[in-house]
Amino acid sequence: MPALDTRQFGMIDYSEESTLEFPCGMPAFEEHKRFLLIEKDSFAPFLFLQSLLDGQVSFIVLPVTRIDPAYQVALEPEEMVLLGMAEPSEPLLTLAVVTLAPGSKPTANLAAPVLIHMGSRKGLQSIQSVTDYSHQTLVPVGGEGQC
Amino acid sequence: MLVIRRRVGESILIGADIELQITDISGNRVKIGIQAPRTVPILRKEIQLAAAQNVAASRGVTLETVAELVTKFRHQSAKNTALSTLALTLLDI
Repeated sequence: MPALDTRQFGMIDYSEESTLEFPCGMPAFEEHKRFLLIEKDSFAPFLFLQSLLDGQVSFIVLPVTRIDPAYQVALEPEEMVLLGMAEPSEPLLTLAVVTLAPGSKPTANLAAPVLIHMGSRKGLQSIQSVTDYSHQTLVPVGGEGQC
Repeated sequence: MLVIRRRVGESILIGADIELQITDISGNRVKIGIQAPRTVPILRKEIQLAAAQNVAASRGVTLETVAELVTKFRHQSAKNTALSTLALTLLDI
């Protein structure tokens, strides 16, 4: 069984069947073509998208519907091909990449969601060319001064 | 910003070796053909934004910061649930 030394969780074992294929990587991480989606109860509903190329590279992701239950993704035909999708109705997991920067509020990139096809286990980051969503949408975490 | 009107088939030259040609317009979408030296990086701006955001996002991942986020986020969710429970209670009375 292959293993990966990760920044967050140390050594983890995984099976080849649990890997996700990102044929184009992600913007700025184009060479990272294989990922694991790591779920841990203590961090739910957040998930870790862990690169298999480099254990130091991972992203915190959150299902977009946790931020906006009405979120709709616009799929381009070439994205459907990359995901191995035959019909637009096939189930996709739609995740937002979350940014935690010291001193600023957590944000989620709803303008470029990560899509993972449940059947093919293929994924990509879909740059939404026409969108009202921001790449820095505030993650609703309550905080000070809210009534 | 310099704004220039162009029709389909017309071009704009930038410097000595970059040419942008409007190849098609349909609805609110414009198709642009670009001729430029291979050394010139050409990116859709949204991709550059996503790339910068991804770099920032990958830097912020530590278990401590995530744990803090989870606590706040759950607190928020819990608050919502409490609100709806409260509303139901009021209705019951």
